[in-house]
This record gives sequence, C-alpha cells and structure tokens, in this order.
Amino acid sequence: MAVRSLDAARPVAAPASRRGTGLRELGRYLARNPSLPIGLAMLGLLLAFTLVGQLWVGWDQAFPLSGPPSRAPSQRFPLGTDAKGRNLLAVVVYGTLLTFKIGLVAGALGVLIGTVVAFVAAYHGGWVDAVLRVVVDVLITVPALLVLVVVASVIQSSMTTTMMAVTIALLAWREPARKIRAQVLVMRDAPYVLVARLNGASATRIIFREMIPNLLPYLGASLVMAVAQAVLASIGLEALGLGTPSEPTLGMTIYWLMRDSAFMLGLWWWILAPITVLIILFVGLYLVTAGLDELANPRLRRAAP
Amino acid sequence: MSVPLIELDGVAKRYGKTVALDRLSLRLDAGRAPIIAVAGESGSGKTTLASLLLGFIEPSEGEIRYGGAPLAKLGRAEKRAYRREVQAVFQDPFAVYNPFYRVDHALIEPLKLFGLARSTKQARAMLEEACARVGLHPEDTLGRFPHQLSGGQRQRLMVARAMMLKPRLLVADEPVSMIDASLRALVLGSLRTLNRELGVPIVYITHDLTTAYHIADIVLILYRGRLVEAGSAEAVIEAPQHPYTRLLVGSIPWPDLAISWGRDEPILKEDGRTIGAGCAFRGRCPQAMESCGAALPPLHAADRGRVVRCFLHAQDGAAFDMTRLSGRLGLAADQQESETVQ
Amino acid sequence: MTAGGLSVRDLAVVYRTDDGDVHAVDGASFDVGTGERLGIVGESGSGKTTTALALIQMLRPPGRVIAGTARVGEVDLLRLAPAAMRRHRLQTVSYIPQGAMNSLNPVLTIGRQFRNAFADHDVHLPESAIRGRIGAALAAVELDSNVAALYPHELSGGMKQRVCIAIGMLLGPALIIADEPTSALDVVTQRQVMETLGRQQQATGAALILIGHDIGLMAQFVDRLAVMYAGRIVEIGTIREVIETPRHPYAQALVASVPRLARRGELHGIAGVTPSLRRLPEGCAFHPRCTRAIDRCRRERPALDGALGDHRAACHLLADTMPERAA
Repeated sequence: MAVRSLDAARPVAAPASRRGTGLRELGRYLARNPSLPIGLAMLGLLLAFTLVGQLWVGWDQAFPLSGPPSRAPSQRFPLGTDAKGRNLLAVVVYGTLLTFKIGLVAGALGVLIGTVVAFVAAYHGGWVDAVLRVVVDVLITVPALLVLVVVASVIQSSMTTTMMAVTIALLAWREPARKIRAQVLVMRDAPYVLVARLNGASATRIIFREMIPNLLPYLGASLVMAVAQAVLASIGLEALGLGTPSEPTLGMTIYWLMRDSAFMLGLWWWILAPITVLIILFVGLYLVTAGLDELANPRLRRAAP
Repeated sequence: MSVPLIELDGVAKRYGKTVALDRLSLRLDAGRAPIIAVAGESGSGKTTLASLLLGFIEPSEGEIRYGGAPLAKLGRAEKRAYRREVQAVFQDPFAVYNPFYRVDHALIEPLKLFGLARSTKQARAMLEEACARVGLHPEDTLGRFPHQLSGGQRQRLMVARAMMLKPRLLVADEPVSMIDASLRALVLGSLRTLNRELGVPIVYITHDLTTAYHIADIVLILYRGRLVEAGSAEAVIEAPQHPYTRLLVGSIPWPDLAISWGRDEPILKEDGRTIGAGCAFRGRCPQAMESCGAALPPLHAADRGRVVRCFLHAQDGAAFDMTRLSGRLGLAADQQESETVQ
Repeated sequence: MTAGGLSVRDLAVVYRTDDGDVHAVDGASFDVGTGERLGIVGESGSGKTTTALALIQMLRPPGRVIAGTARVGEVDLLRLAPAAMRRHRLQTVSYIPQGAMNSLNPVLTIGRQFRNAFADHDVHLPESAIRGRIGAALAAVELDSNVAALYPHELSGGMKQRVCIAIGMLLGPALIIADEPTSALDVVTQRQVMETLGRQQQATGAALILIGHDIGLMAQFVDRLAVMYAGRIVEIGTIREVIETPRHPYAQALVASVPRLARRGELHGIAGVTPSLRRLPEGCAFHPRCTRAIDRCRRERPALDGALGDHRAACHLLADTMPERAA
C-alpha cells in the first residue's frame, strides 16, 4: 500500500536571506572574539603603512649614505637616520615589506609542502604513511634554529630574502604535515567521503572537491601560524647576523643597531622605530592566531552572554 | 539459465585473530528483487558484510563475484558499472552530506560522474522527480544545507539519490536507526517504493527486527560473524527457532500492551565459555547442551523453508549445504548439489 | 499529590536569540508519584530534553527558565541556589543521559568515579563500607564487582550505560530522569538496561521520568505517558489510554506510525515537517499538519484542560464534542 507521505502541509518558509543574517552574525561574533579583529587590524595597519610609505620614501633611501649619519628625527628625516646614514623611515617601510615577504613565502611554501605530504601519507595509508610518519617525527625533534644557523652560515653573504624564505620553509612544513595528516585521517572515513566513492569519484576529485573545502579554515589557521613562526625565525637569524646583508629587513636593522652600538651612543630613534614595528607585528600575529584558534575550535568558543 | 547478479562464495573476513565474518555463501540472481534483511547486534558482522558488498574491503577468504566475474579482477569498464549499479544508504543522515555544500551536491555529483544527465536542466528535472518519488517537496529540500533539513528528510533524499541512479542492488546500512521512531515510516516507505516500483533488490542491514519485519522478504540473522538463522521474514520473526533469534525477537519493544517483552526469554549473564570451537552463543543459551561446545553446529533445514544453525534442530536430517541456501530462500535458482558440506 | 514524587507546574523555558525568543518549553505541567514511571515522548526538538535539563538546572545559556515550579517534597528545584542545587543533584534528583560513552571520565576507573560521587556529596565512610556500597551498586545493575577496576573504554556500550545507572542511583534519589538512556544500544542490551533500571527504581521507590522517541519502549516500560510537540504537552494520560485511545491528532498519528506485529507491511508516516521553534504557527502548533483542523485551530491555541490525573489532550475538536468539565 502507498505511504501517505506527501508533505501536503504548507512548506516551511525558506530561511531569511543569507547575506543579511551573515553580516549580522559576523558582527556579533567579532564582538565576542575581539582577538581576531584587533589582530587583523594591527597587521592591516602595518600593511597599509608599508604600502603608503612607499609613496613617501624611495627604496634607495633605505640604503647607506641617503643622508647625514646619526641624526635625530627632524622634518626631513621623520624617524632620523642611522649610523650609516640610512633614512630610518625608508628602512622601516621597506623592512616591514621584506619581512612580510619572507614570512608569507616561507609560510605558504611550508604549508604547501606539509599539505602534500599529509595527503600522500593519510590518503594512501599503509607503508607510505608509516615511512612519512617516521620521517616527520624525526625531523620535528630537530631544533629548527640550529639547522637554520648551519644552513645560513654556509650561504652567508650571498643570502637573499628569497633564499631565506626557502631555507625556513625547509623546516616549516613539519608541523602542518602532522596536523593536517590527522585531519585527513579522520575525513577519509567520513560517510560523505564514502558517498563520494559511491559516486564514482576518483581519489583526486575526493581530495580536492570533498576534503579540501572542509579543510580551508584549518589550512588558513596553519598558514597564519606558519607565517608567524617564519617571521620569528627570520628575525632571529638576522639578528644573529646570518641574514641578508644587502637588504634592509627589520631583523638586519636590529643586527646593525646592535653592532654599531646604538644603545651606547644614545641613538634612541634608531632603536625605537624598528622595535615599535616589531612589537605591533608580533602582537598582531599572536592575536590573529589566537583568534583563529578560537574560530577553528568551537570548544574554545566563549558562550554568548 | 539464470544470471547471478552478486555472489559471495565462502567469503570470510578476519582482522588478526578476530573473525568479523565467517564463511558465508550467498547468491542473488539478476531479475529478482527481494528485500533481504541482515540482522544482528554490534559485532555480528553485518557492517562487515555491507563493506564487502560495496567493495570497500576485501575478503580474507573466498571470493565475491559481480555479474559472474570476481570483483577483484574487474576491468575498468566493469568496475565502473559495478560502482554505479551497487549503491548504498548509510546510517548517519547528517554525516553523509559534505557540510561544505548544499544537499544537491550529493545528488548532482553522481549524475555528472556517471554521465546520466546531458544538461543542467535535465539534471534538475531528475532531482525533482526523485524528490517527488520519496515524498519530498523539491522547493523545501533542494538548495538547502544539510543542517536545515530533518534526519528523515535527509535520509529520504539519500534514497532519492539511489533512485536516480537506478542501481541493481542497494545496500541500506541501518538507514533508520539514527532517526526518531516516528519518522522512520516515511524513510522505510521510500525504500519500499524503490524496491517495488524500480525492482531494486535491497540488502537491509539492521539491529532492529521491527522494521525488518515490515519491509523485508527474507531475514538473515548473524551472531558473532556467523549465520544462525535464515528464512522468510514471517517465519523467522513470528516463530523464531534459533535461541538467539528468540532472544532478539523477545526483546523487541512492541507498542502493544498485550505483548510484554522478555516474558519468555530471560537474558542470561554471559559466562566465559564462548571461546574456542563450538557455537558462539552457548554462553548465553538457556538450552545449551554438551555437544554445543564440542563442534560448530552446521546449518539444518527447518520448517517453513528456513535454516537454523543449532543442534536442537538436528533431528530434521543431515546438515544443510550453505551453497544451496540461496535457492532455498528464493534468492537464486536452485544449484546442483555440491560435495562441500558446510 | 503524595508526599514524595515530582510536581511540575507551568514550566517555561526560553532561549533568547537575536531573532527573538524561542519558547523551547511552553507551560508544561505534570506529576510523577513515588514509584511511578512517566514517559515523555516526542520528536527531536519537541522540548523533552530541555524539560529534563531545566529540572536539574543544567540548561546552557541562552536558555533560561522563565516561569514555573518543580517541587520534590518541599523543595522547588527551579528556585534553588547553585550551591544547593549541586547538593541535590545525585542525592535528590539524578540524571541518566543519552550516550553514556561520553558521560564517564575516560581517564578514571569506574571505582574512582563512584568514589568521586561519594566525595562530592560529603559521604565519608570507612574504606570497607565504600567498597561494599560500590560492589552492591554494581551488583544491582548486574555487573561484576571487578568492573570497578576497569576503565570506561574496556566496557561495552550497554555496560557503560548500566554503570551510569548505578552512579545515578548511588545516593538513593527521590527522582530519576533517564534521557534516552538506550538509544545507542541494540534491542537485547536495551531490554537488559531498562529491566535493570526498572528493578532498581522499584526497589527504591523513586519517581522516574523516561524521555525518548520510541513509543514501543514507552509501552513496555512506563505507567503514564506525556506527548510533547513544539515545546508543549499535547496529550497526557496512562500508557494504556494514550496508546490505545489517543485523543490528540498528533498522538494518534504518532502511535499509528510505529510498526506493530499485527499489521505487517503497513507503514504510516506523518505528513509535513515539525515546525521550527522560531516560527511556530499561530494557534495550535500542529494545525498545518492536522487532517482535521478547523478554523478555530488556526487562531486559538488549545489548552490542556481537565483535572491533573485525567487523560487530557490539547485539542479544540475535543472541547467541541466533549461536555464541559466541572472546574
């Protein structure tokens, strides 16, 4: 006998326009989780600063003999000059840009390599996974700074920002590989993946169309964290003198000001400018990672009032 | 000459020392469309059976054949056909939809990948027709995200998906166990429509005999990986013979105040005697005998066209050969007697 | 109303959202006597679990109880201060949840979880007495005393659920609320767990509320049954009354939708979809799906009239045909 199953009743009204509620919900969420927007604002500020600043000062001003050495801030040199005569405004503007570049390239490359390794290991399983897992576990125990110091000291004076980014990426992929592999392992057995297999989808299609979209927030968070760590690593290396002698990154500025005794000579403006930028950069990166953590992990979410 | 659709030949699956499924031989011929319920508690092997039928895992022993050819050795085209013709409905109505997409995604993907629709318009028409077939309003269902639909709607949509693909076999793995009891009728009705109107045989996996009673033609009862009773749904559920089936049936909470559960079937405390050779149920069986521990009871033919794996029913004659089971159950044409005894 | 047992009047729970107030429970009233079993049946989202959580003050914000009383003896559960409520949980009212897998602390042995229950309620006894009570509690749910040394992951689903029952009954509460305690279990284990629960309840004379969606289970277990729909109780009466002669159209459809032994092959669904609590229909919440709705149903919400012990249903059709009851 037929089932009296037709939904004869009045259909339930369609949900309210997605865009309207979406924005409102976003606003409410940002109010509850201030770390994310504040962090983004700080990074945005730096980015704006570096972009606008380029209209103000030229690239060449960030190099020695752009002006008289060791001058306190004045109208001509708003942030003063350093011991070699670099216009500190230009140094800070272009230094931030270079540091961003290193961070982004290293972070993106690291996450890319890590993702590929994670998928190969988790999707294939078996001996491939076993081998890769051992490799990653061993590499993770290697202290990054040590390796980077060794590599950097080999390259030394021919170091460029690109090379620095690649060097850092060589170790930056380890943690993302581990974390993303764990996610993929879980997803591999998810019912919607089984349904995709029943749809006749190939492994590639499943990975790109089914799994990766669900991983995007996770990948985003991994990227930001990788960028933060890359920036930290690069500045660390540069401050130790293993950076790029020909390019005025923020870390190199720190190195130079220490080497040329800025403290002892009382050249406070030389110290203040890069330090301020670094503080904003790190606090911003930290807030964004904390905020993303809260977003990606609902258990950490604070309950609505 | 009857053509087999799918066949399990002495199939067993082991994980290390644990036997998930113990040597099962079953055959379903093309052209027949029964609803076969496979019932048992967790650990009975029913989920393993589903995974084997869907080709997600390989048997440790024996062979699975599709259209006469071994599954493991199918060519590319045959494999593709198998993929399309054997479909499933899974247990969790939420997890089967990729939360990133609207529910349409799960239905449009197979149309695209199997080349079943020539244009977006035709695809849409197919979706709408399938929705109507399972009693869903397309405008209320399509275009929504999974969390916007109820469990019953999501499951019916999965059945609609199966209908669109016109499979030759559907494996329904506990399709209603995660849905409220009051909403199950609609999902089961849609499965029955698929079976009756489109002639698709269904392997209905469940731990709940109530629903099996209502839609299944044949019931197979599994216990710890072994088949213990098989027959028509009426025979097995109205008058169960194997002590485990009796326990199972006796524990069904019927919404009928005249039938109180467990009146006849006490639940015995399990003792440790289930290891080793012999019937796996003897530790909980109120009628266990000495011989039950000595050797595994073979299948025996019993009344009303069924088979029971129990020494209590041994008086009905010699052991029953499992290869003849499918014929006896009406799943396949009767096979010649073979020398191997189960 | 007997001295023991639970007495709930006009319970109302609201979730304050930015889209407006959502009335998850709207004016529920019912009694459960000592030793009596009341079932609350309804679909997901009907308000049954919210009712249970409200009684033990475990609603998560933005849910709040905005009205009603829930008396166990002299104590009104809804008016207790948080510290007092903590004391009463497990001692006076205990809650056995769905999905026992998640309720037991995975890093503590079963025995330690029992001990924590004792410690949290200031029950200080000599070690031998504690061990004795734990052993007795486990035996009461048909588990071996060596289970106390095991960790939750070493137990099966049914065993874990029985441990939860044992903990729930440890301090002899006057009221037990079992919220879908067997939904993850197979039929045989389900029966075993329910029989255990029933036996324990009878031994201690506690009042019991069983929440679920399976009318078959209710038929086999409870004395009285309340049917909830869209946050409201639409019918309440003895189990026999509600199952054999349901009066509310939703209850009728619900009872008819459950497969029975007698009528093989008949499947009856309920047309339509449960309304979202955010957008309840005017008048009777069920009227869009009701085959017998009249004009009055669209405008006016029917009340659950009648004396508390009677078989009551909130439906205009009944008011029209039944003679007026004496107030």
